[in-house]
Amino acid sequence: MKTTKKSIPPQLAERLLTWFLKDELAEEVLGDLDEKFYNAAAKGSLWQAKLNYWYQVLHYFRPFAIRIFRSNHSTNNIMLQHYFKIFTRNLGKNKAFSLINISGLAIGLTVVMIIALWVKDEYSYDRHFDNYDRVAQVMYRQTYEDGVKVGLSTARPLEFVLKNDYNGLFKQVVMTAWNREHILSHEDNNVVKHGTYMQEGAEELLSLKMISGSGKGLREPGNILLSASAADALFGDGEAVGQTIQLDAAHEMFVAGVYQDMPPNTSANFSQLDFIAPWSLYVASSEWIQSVEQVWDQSFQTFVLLNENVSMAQANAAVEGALKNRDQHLTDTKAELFLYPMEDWHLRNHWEEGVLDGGSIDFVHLFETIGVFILLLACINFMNLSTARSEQRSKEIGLRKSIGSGRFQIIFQFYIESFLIVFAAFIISLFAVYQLLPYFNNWTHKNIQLPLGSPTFWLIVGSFIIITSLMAGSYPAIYLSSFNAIKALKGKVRQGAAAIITRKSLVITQFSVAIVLIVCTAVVHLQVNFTKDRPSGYNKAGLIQIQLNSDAFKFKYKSLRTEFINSGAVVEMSGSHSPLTDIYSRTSGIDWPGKPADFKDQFLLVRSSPEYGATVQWKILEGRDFDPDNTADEEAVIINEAAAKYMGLTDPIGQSIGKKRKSPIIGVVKDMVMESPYEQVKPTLYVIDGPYNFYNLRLNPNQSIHKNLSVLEKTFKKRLPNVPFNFQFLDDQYAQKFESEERLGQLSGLFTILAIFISCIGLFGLSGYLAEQRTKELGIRKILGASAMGLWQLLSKEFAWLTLIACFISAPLAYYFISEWLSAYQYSISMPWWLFGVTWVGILIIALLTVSHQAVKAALINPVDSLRGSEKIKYSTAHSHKTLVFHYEIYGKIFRLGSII
Amino acid sequence: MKETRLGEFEEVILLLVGILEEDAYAFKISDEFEAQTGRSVSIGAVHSTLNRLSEKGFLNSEMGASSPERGGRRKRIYTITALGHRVLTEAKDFRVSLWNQFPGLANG
Repeated sequence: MKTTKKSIPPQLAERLLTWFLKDELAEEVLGDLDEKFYNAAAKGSLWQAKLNYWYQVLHYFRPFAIRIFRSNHSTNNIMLQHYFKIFTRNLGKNKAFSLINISGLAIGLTVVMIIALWVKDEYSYDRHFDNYDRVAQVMYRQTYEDGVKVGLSTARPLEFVLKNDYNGLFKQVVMTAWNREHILSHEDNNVVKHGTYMQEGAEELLSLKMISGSGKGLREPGNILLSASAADALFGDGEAVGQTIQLDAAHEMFVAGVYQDMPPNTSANFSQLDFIAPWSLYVASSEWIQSVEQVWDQSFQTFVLLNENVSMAQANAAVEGALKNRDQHLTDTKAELFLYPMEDWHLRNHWEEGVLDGGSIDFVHLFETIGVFILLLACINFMNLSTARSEQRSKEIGLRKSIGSGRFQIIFQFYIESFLIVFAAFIISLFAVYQLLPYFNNWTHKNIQLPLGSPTFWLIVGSFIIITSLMAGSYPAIYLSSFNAIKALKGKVRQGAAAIITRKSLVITQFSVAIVLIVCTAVVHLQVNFTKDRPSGYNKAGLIQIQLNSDAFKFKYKSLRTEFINSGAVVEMSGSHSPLTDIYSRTSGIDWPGKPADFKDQFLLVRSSPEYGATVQWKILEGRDFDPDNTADEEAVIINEAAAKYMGLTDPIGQSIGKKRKSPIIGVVKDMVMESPYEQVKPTLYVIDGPYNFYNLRLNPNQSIHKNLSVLEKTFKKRLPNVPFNFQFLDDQYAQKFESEERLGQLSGLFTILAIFISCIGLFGLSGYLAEQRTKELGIRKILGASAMGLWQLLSKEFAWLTLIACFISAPLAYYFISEWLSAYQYSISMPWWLFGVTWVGILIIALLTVSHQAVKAALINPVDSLRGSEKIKYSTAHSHKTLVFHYEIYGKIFRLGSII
Repeated sequence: MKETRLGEFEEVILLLVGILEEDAYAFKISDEFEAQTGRSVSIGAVHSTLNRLSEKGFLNSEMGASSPERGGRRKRIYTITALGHRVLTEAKDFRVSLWNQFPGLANG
């Protein structure tokens, strides 16, 4: 054996061992290991011996051998029990304070938890599809006179182009019809279900989870795939696969497979997919579709599944020119093809000049910010309240220190207290979330559950609790433990100016936020109400709409109309291609007298029966309505005001417009709000044309709606026994246009209340603290003859100032947000300046009410008590009675002040 | 026999302490264990067991002599107590009685 310098045991391992090993074992163990080392070195290589030494050292990590780093366990337990006891006593002593502190934190946590669950749900959309990152919808980007527009509609020839010219990119190209209501029937069981026609390959693109049968069934035109819920509705518990059903009372379909329902977090494209029928059936059933095989009319949808080695960007770059030289219209509008990846479907759906520009993701980010902000405010409040109470505990800390408590023990104690409060708040908020989730789900149309079984959830919650307790507990822990024992016992601890300024600026921040939120909420409500009151240009009341979801309606329009009108339930009826609350068709390439060259026009096109105007009761401004008895009118066109202006026609009646075949304008109608009520009405052409997708019925105003509907249903059932009688009130349909704005309004209302509450907690803490600081000053003032009212004013004045500063800070912020938000709407209110005034007065009153509790308390203290400097000032019963009376007086004054302003 | 029960490893270590006599300290015992059973064991594991057996009262120990290969450090020598002897005997008797009841191998 070479006895070089290297042949000694590894020093690092030895140091590690002596570090963790009990001192009394060191001699024997080190001796044994040395012996082992030299023994091993003699037998084998030095390297092996060293390795073995490490091995032996690590095997001394045993309970019996490890030094006890902390003090004795039993003392620790006693201290913990003691901390707990002090904690509960303190809670009990300051009941109101504890309640505010815990509930403030609990509310914050509840909101943050709900926001977190919501955000998680938003991000989870469509991720359940196996090919999530490789699926895309094919879209068009076209340039018109008023900007770049994108469209989901694709043309039939696109299928062949994508499959033949770009076959290296795509694993599947799936042509799809528009998802709409259809009727599925089995024996006497008719159900209305959403579904669509899709090409084979859909099963792979959507990674359908088959329950029974096979997804391959889309190859045959006579096969159909049902979702589990559709199969359940048709067959109950019976086996669906192998049965025959009727689609739209026209086609006999063989059920080839049943797939699992789409989960609730599926974006709009496939969220309502109760069945999939083969594309080949769709083509076979319509001569029109067969006729457009080589025509670039946009009427379908196309989805693609990329090959595994192709990235979305590559594919996007490759297909861009796919629409070049296809037809005149596409060339005129510089049409480009692009892919809209599934990843963006749910969260990014807002287009600005043909480019994706946010969408729901903005809300997600907004709520993430709000969540963090609320948590931060709640934590800072918690800190604030705890420090404000610190003087009450300064003697406790002085005593602890003088009997030998170390600084770290005090820090530890405050962390424990903060942990217990956070934990209590968390338990409360968990319960609250559990109770609130059903309402929240109902409201947001989601199905969010508390993931109580998920380890990740508990991991997040655990770290959340720890981080929050550290954040919230740090200031009191570190600050309070720094007290000098003698000063603390003498009660001479005073907080520096910095702490007070911090707290004041916090109050200002909180109130600024509250004011901004109040103003914004009010503006949302004003805007929604303003738009709701917008004249729609037609009469929505008493109008119902029936969607023609079955081929059984075919060729029955005339006779149905006669029968409905004869039944007395309906005074007028029309058929139309689009619903009254949306316009499906667009047209361009229209010529009119005086049209500038290279003007890339686009119009909305409403195709309907001639009774359309009479049904909706539009207002003819010039010319006349369609005449059902005049067949010449089938070639005529009626335009709206916006279209007349768009074309620059001063005397439109009698002018001829159109593509190759010109139609005379016979009338101009007042603009009607059929699309978004927040936008300007677009130039629209009204023509007599089919096919009809909707019947619009004007109910008899001289009968009750109930009677009208029952008569209508009877007539309907007689003529169409296999079609369920489904209809919608136009009022309801129209109201849906406001849903998302109304929800935004409710949500911001909720956050406003929260912000006010949290701000008030902050203010309450600060005012209590400042009042306590000035106890002696107030005592002297009282002795010198100051009145209680005077003292109240003295104490409240400061907070009035803080609130006023917040008002001025918040004004430009609120102005910015409001003008940003309103600028997105073409039809909007003007800046409501009066709102600022009202909000300021309101917030001032709220702030004064909050402060008054403390101010009144301080003003009414017996000066003898306060000057004596006793730590705890006791109130006699008579005293609290007096306080109460004074409170009423003050509150009455404030309210009167408010009502005067 | 709840507290005085011996595990297999404990029993072997106890026996090895008896065999090694004045050489019965942790390193030697683990060395002997490896030699006799062919199983490898860490000194820490042996030490921990020795410690446990001492707590149960089966072993006594005292610091012995030092030697140069130990860097002049002393070693802890273990000796079996009377209780340890009795527990070992009981364990052996128990096995023997079980073997005697084992029909395939009982000689008689």
